[in-house]
Amino acid sequence: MREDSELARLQRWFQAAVLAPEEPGPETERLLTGSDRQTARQRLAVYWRRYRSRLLENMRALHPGLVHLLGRELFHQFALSYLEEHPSRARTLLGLNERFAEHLARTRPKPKDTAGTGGTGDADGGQAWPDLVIDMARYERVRTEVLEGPGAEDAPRLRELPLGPTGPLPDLGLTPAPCLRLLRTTFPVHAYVAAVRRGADPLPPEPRPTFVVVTRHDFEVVTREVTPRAHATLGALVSGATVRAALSGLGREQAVSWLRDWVNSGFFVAVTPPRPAEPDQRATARSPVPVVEGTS
Amino acid sequence: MSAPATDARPDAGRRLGVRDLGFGLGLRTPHLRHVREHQPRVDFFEVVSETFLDSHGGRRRALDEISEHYPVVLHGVSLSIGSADPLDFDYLARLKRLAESVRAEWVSDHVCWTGVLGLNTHELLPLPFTEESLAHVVRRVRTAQDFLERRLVLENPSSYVGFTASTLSEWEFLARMAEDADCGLLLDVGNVHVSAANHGFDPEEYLRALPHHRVAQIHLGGHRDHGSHLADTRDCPVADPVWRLYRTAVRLTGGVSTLVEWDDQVPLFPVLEAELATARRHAARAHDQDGADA
Repeated sequence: MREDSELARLQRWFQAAVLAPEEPGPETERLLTGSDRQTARQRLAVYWRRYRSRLLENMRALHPGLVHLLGRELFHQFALSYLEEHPSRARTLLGLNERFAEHLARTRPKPKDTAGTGGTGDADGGQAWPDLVIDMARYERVRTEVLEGPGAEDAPRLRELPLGPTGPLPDLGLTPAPCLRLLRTTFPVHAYVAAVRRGADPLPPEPRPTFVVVTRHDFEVVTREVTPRAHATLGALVSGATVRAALSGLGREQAVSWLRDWVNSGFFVAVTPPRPAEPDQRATARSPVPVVEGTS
Repeated sequence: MSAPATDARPDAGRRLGVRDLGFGLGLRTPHLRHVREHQPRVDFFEVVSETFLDSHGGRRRALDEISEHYPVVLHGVSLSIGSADPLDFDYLARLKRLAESVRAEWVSDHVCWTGVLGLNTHELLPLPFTEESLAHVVRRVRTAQDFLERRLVLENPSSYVGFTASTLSEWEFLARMAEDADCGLLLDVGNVHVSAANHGFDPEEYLRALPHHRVAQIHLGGHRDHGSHLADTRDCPVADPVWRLYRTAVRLTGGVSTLVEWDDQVPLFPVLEAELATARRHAARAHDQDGADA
């Protein structure tokens, strides 16, 4: 359809009026009809409100933890600011919050926006609150990706690694489950979100560098906190380092224990032979699993 | 899992190449577990296509399992058939794969647009009823049908505003679109009631004017009166005036697959089953009336 067609122009105008932060302008009366009970502007405002109402409802569903932390009104402020800057381009609503954490990280909601919400915000004059908000938005997005994205439920289970009783660790790579995500946050937001999802009323968490693995088991999201060292090792493995390279420097007993645990937990789904590239090249050759950096 | 409540015979009530599936429900996420575990006697289920297009998790697994035991139809909200933007063939390809995967009896969407300039408002926005819009929609329906290799079934959305540019009534637009594009119609009688109240037209005239042989499915859903306008909310039982319109629609079409939609404040499954039983009673009453008139 030509861009200067009547329909194209009308649709561009209508969409702009629906997306605009302010309610419809005066040209509305020329283009739209009124009814017995509503002016044309009032009628257009129905769409203006429905658009926001639907998307906010979906954003709330994607971020129950953040809604609980901020309260509905403040959450709506943040979400509307995001949607104004990043109106949806996707056909489905699952991607609606795709850039929400990024938006919050860039705009960094100010302490005054979060005044009166208690906890950390009051303890340090609110300086840490933006990090908490960003962390939680990021974790809840990762959670959605893991829940709805490809999983390993139908993949053949990796039962055991070729680990002998002694000797060096194998020079093999591991294929991560497609639903495996590694996340580092400034606050233990995963515990807060889990409590909210259980129906509890947790206090806002205090800052604590937190390293988690988020994955899926039998279609349920599983989040597990790990040590910084384990997190770094997992990061190396999902980036393509071999078992031997990723776990070098660890005692053999510790390394074997971790590997068995991670394989049993479904973090990895297959063993891959070593590739001919040099170790430093291998480390950057593959990154099928995002390692999501937090705000720390 | 038990069989559907009605024997949807391969050739029974076939129109536009699709079966009369009987009486179905919109399948919503809170009910997936119930349907899998309790195997309710429902003739068919309709799912919102976009809920499953990007889902590879438990929800999608549940749909796959349910589609093994019940007829499933897909109902979309993002085809944006009336948009001035180019058709999204990536979306259509994904839709086609989903339809094939769940062996969808048909694929429906709305006579509307949801965005331009690459955006998606996720709202069913109204079209001006002009010759230009009609030709545009007809062209795109034909293209989409060719791509999907099946007829589309398109629903009348509720609307809250009219355009000064419109030169056709909504029912004229739908009738000509269906005939010219050779597509099916999904007649939402709740939306007819809502739009009739909002625009001041006669809903019975609307129903009489449609090409009844093109109506492949009927939707029923609740609405709310906001004082200044009615809103299609689908969060409450179907109202009496809508049941009356439904009986008229059944008489005019001879009866087609009927579906109860409940999208918001979704109640327990038995509430939906009761609403579906009410729909069966009204359809039977319409058929009885038809017989008595004959």
